[in-house]
Amino acid sequence: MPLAKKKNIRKKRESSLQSSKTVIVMHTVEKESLFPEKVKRANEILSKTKFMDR
Amino acid sequence: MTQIPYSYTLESSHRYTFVSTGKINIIKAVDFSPVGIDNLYNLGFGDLLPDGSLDVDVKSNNGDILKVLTTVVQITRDFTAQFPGIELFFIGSTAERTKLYARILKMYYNEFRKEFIIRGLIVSGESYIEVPFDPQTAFEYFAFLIKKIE
Repeated sequence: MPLAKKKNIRKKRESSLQSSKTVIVMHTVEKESLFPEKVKRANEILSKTKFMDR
Repeated sequence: MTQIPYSYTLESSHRYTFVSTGKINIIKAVDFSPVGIDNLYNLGFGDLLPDGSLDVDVKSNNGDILKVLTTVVQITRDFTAQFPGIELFFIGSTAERTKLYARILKMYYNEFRKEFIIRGLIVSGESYIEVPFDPQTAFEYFAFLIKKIE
């Protein structure tokens, strides 16, 4: 396959990956946090959040 | 912000305390904890009670709310200056308190926007959408994210 075509396919794949990017939130709570319930709540909210592009 | 912040103590790299000296003296703690997403921390804030426990939902009505929030903002400046790549998530312990935070962000937006990128979360069904914080819109923000401008 010509190199230019390969590059195009790769670009399309990357673009597709970016558009369907999801943020994986690990449900870990910092044990030493003074406010573990708040961290847990933040975790829950952020796991359901659609983020803007950074 | 027009108030002078309370003096505060850095207890550890991610934890600060200060004393609110309103009607009574109350020790306040501000804690930055990772939430499981790279460079994203929760900003937690509450009262350290005399028995050593914490109360995050307390309405202390100590008569110094603006001074207390000014201190939290100053601590946030301090923390984000030390860790400029991080982003902070915060939400009020009640809807009423989140509205108060939104009012403060709107009121001092021209000051904050010079230092921070401010984003808000709005409710969309059972999930949330991150949007740029806009003091002119009537959005009811559910929570906030801020990042120091590098």
